[in-house]
Amino acid sequence: MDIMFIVGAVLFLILAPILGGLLTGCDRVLTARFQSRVGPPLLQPFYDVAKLWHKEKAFSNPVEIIFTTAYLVLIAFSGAMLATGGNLLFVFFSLALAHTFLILAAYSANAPYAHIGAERELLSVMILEPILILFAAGCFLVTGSFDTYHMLIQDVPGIIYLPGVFIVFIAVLTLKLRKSPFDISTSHHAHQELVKGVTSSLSGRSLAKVEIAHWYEMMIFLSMILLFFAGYPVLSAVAIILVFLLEIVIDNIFPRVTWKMTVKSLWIVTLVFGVGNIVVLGILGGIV
Amino acid sequence: MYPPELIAILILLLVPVSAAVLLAVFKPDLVRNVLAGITSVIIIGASVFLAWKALIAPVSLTLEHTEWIGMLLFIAEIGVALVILGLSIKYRKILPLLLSVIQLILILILEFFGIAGPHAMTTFTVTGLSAVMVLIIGIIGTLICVYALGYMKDYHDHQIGVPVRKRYFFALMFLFLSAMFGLVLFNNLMWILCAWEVTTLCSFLLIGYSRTPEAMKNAFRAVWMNLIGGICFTLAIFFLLRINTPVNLLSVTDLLAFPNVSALTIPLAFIAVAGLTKAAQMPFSTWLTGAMVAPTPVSALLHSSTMVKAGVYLLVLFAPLFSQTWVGIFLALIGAFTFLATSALAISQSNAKKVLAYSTIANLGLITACAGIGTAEAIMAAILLIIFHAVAKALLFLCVGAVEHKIGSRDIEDMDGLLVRLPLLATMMVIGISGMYLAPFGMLISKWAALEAFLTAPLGYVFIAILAFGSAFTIFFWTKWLGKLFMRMNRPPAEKIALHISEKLSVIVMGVLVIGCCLGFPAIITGVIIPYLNGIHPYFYLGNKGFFYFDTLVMLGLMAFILLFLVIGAFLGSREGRTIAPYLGGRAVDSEGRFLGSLGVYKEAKTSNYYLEEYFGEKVLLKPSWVISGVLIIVMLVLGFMGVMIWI
Amino acid sequence: MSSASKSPWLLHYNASSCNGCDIEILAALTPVYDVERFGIINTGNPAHADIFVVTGGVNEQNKAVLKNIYDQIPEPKVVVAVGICASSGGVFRECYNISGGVDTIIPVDVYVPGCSVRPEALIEGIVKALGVLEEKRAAMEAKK
Repeated sequence: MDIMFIVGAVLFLILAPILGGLLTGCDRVLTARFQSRVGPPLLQPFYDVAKLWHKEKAFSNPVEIIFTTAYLVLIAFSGAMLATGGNLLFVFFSLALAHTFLILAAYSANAPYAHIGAERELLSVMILEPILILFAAGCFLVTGSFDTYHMLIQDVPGIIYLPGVFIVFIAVLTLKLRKSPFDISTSHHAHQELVKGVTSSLSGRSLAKVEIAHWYEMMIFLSMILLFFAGYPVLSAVAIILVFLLEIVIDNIFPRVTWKMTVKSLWIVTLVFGVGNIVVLGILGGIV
Repeated sequence: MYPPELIAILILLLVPVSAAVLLAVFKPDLVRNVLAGITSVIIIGASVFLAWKALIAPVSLTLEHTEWIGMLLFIAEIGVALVILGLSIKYRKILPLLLSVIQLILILILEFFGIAGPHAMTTFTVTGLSAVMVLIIGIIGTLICVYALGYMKDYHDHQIGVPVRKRYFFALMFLFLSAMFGLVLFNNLMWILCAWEVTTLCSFLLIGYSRTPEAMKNAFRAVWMNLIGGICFTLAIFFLLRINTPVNLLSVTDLLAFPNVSALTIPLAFIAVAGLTKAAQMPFSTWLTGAMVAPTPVSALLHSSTMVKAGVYLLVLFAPLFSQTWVGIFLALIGAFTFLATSALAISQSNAKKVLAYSTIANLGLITACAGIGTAEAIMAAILLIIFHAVAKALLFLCVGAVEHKIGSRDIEDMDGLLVRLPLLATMMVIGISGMYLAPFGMLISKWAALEAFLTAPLGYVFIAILAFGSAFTIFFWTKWLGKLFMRMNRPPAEKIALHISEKLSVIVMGVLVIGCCLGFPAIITGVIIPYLNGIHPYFYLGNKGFFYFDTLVMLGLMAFILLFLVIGAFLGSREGRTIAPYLGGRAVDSEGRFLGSLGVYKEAKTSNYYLEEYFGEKVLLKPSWVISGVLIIVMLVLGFMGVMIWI
Repeated sequence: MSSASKSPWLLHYNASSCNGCDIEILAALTPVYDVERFGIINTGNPAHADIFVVTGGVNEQNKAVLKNIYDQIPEPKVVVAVGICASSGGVFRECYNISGGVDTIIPVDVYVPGCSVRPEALIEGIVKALGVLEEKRAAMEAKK
């Protein structure tokens, strides 16, 4: 393994939560502006986490401490894998494992809200799975490898070959940024149907870990946009910013999307654009 | 005078059947336990030895004067058909009766008019693939039999109305082991057919063990579906004999080396149907879900780790032939479709054995898909799936069986807090479930291998799309089960019944096997699968392929290390802090998580998992799935008769 | 000022109030007043809350509930009794089914009297609560 890769991983581990927290702050400020409010300070997410970190150690079940730690560690690990140009499938499997731990944390709380939250979080993992596999398959068809590294050194940006997958990816990002659906999301909107569902029984440090993990995850998914625009740094940056803004807009104009609508709409998008894209690529025999 | 490999093979074929005879004679439990124990040790020893020999170099043995073996097996086959015939008459079942008569006639025609005289051929072959099967049958099979010694005692304590027929039960279990060894070791298709029919019979009799009306109904369903498979197998042999060639096509090795595959499409299509029935693929899946009425060791041995594997074993064996035909593509489509449909169906089930059954069918579907595609990568994925599925699923069945006796239910909804109530069994269950779908465990590696295989196969993109959605369903139903185990409900503690030593032993060994297989998967690939593949595809070179890339292996190792660290942390970590009662929308809650009802009584808050029956229920999905898979099978047969080949 | 007072998450509970004070509280929490400026979030979940805002004089039915929710909030936490009923029982004080103020059940840190409470008083009360939150957190740190 190249030394650059290790540097990349370390940089990601340090920078991702900082950037992720800042972006979350931006998100909250922008959302407030959309609603003609002033909104919280930019650094508000960091204040929140710092506060949570210093709260009393309280839990429904001590096991949740280890589960939330596992969630954070594995998400960070997946991110580091991605940053080293590692295998995309492996990143996804590792992410799925991480989410399993979050779901187990909610289950172990033995509380109705947490349980239903866990079920719906599980649904969101299920919604995501085909899209991620299709994404990985698309990368394979383009570069002949699952390694993100090969996607990055492409001459032609991936979006030329994978426009459908990109559309699906944007659709899914709404879910991954914990925006919609409102009845599973753990976002900062006023009241959720399940009083924050999956995290409803978590408090203090456990909740802080989930929050930091969420920043990591957001950075993982946003940096995946890079894979579509590899070789064009300016274009990538513009694309990431635009997608991020787009997500905030989508969040604000669809505040009451339910999980059933989410499953149906996202899977239809996946079937039409994602599978369509892969089938076309497959018929053309891939790029390699 | 005999080579040691031959002695090992003869031990594997003859010791279980002799043990079966003895078990049928002696009644005392003690004699049975000792006998079964000794037999198991001998079988494990012989199978490990044989597999070890076969992995060094494929074993191929030719005996002289095999006519009398053929004659013996022919008599056995007639016997099987007559037993099924007799029971069908006794219970007045028309369809099995009809099918067994057809099968009997076909066998008689084959025996007396079909074969133009004995051809010299290799008697036994042990390749990497059969070595894997030998190990699975030898180790997992015997472990399940040992487990059954303790299990059956509890079984009869719980099932009061069921007549105690332990001699019959254990004789059948060991007879089955012999038949399975025969199935994977014989080289003559006629002999394999005989072993095939014996496994059908064992499965039939064991499903009907309790003789309740439901058990008999399901047993007959299993037998008529498997008889269709047997008939298709026989028809495949018919069509093979019609091919005009000096090569003896009844010999598996010669058949695999036969250059003119386009002449083989009809027998291949029939073999495919035979494999599909045995592996309970759509539309034949209902026999396997019905077979769950049998005692759990039967489900573990026959209906998850070995007998249904015989179906896919046959398909994987002929995978190199399938890879060149459209029959193979359609076979793969049926497998992939089964994977998708049964994974979805598993979501709607709360009966643990039913979930395991559907997941078994789903994984067999994936193996079938790989076998149908038949490229080197696909065969590798298929063998990996066979291995990992056999160990993990057998472990899960054994756990569910033991748990059922302890908590009196096999419903997943009743398993909450199992980690507190039955720590050993629940831990093993967690290992089993993780082994089925989570990184870095074995099944996930296999799925990864399958994904890579699909991507490089013709029409691979269709399979990718199916796999993508199918594995999404898989994640859903496994995780919600896993979650249930971690819930900490305050249920009444389980009855204080100690686990039988035989159950404990088997479960623990199986758990160790699951983890061992996961840790040792690079060794399995380089030591077992690559040599086998090089036997079929001489130029196959794994090299740096995705999951086998050095960096990925390091990462998998790192991930395993992180998990180990977390598990240690869970045991040693600090638990200081205050336990707060769960939030129930503001209702007052006592320390055990019960809420204060309006009449001043504390009540338990209950929530159940999602089963989404309006989308994934059997009522919604089964019929359309039968239609789709039925059409696919018909198309496959038509393509077989047309002899369409893939040109690449 | 530490992070504790920069991110106070509220939990509001009506312990048999007439809804007058609740309307004032919820009005102050609407986007119009934008309390998110101060990092305040209305959580609706005790596990996440820092400041417990209670209205009403607490009757027999919700004594246990109040105690229960209070216990579910992790330290450091501050209880704000909003309105005269919450502070002392108000006009209902002598009722047979009224405990007479939140502090008969759980310790209260800030009293905000009024019937119903004025928004200015409410805001001042929350600001006071932030000060108490700081103190409690400092005490917690010192104890370690």
